[in-house]
Amino acid sequence: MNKHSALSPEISETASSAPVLLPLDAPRSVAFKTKTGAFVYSFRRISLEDWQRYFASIVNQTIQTKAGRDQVFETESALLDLVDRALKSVEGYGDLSALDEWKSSLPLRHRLAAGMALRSVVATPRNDEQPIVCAVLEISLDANWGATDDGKTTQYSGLIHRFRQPGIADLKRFNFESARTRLTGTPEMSITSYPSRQAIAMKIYDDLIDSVDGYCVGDLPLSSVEEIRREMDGAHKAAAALALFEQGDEITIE
Amino acid sequence: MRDLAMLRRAAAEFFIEGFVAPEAARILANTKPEDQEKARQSIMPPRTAPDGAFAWINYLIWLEQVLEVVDVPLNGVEVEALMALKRERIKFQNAHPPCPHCGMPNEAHALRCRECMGEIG
Repeated sequence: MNKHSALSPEISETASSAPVLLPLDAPRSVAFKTKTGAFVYSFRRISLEDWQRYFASIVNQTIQTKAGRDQVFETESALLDLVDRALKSVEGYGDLSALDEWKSSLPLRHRLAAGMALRSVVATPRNDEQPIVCAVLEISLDANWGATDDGKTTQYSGLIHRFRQPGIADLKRFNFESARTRLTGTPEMSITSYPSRQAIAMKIYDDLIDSVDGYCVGDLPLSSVEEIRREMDGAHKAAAALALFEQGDEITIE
Repeated sequence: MRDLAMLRRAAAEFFIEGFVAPEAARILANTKPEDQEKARQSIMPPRTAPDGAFAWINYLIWLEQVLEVVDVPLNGVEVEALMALKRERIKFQNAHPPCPHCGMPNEAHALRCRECMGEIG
């Protein structure tokens, strides 16, 4: 449970089986309520570069000293940076026009909650009835996207990403990139900085994607691989490609 | 990772961890959950190489297994690292010969196997 649960948006559900497609190019906003009021954050479209910068800014380190080992995993700075760059306007705080730095004047918890809503996408657990051997692998995502005019966040489920089977070269690339840690420090202290697996997955997505269902741009479904590479949201690319490499049955040899 | 000296140090520590692991697992299975972390720290040899070096070794070991079944192109860093890993493994195996009865590695000076208790040498 995240610590921003008090700011969780109201949800209205949809499913990709209905003719409701997730509009990747539509204005995107996040609405939430607190005890003190209702707020809406409106964003410009989050670009692939924004997502690359966000994933690359996540701090995932281990710091080793003679006394022991500390794990550092910090996403909030990266999330605040993402929100501050993409935020266009807010509602619910009154007139902010007199403030020079209006974005940084907004409550930290609100900015983080809005950021968490932006990255709200998860892979649906694999269905046991899906075929194990097939030419194309299907990953299904559930995601929150923009708020509607009545302040409810639209939740999409069953967003389908179909990938060609990763070859050994793809698998090697993913594992090689994931193992490329950065080592810094002194004789008394060493710091290992781990690469962002989401950033790696985002790149590999473009090589493996075959088709998608449930998304549109300009009210038209995404049809070609080129269009998918260009238009697909970066967080969705990362979630789908990571699931491709990480989902699977646990194997027990008897 | 281009620092081969660090890779060799991490590989040596990695193989020793594997050597200690079966006994550590037995001890930890009989240890209360709240005491397990302390027990683990006292049983397992300390790591002097950074965690990143172990991430690289895990990748190299995966790569070795892949190379047993299929040819994949390697870059120069991978080739040098695989050769360094192989040298460290041979060094470890020389210092820890396998038990003639069950195959488990033992200290070179051991008279009985730590696993099957069979006589060695």
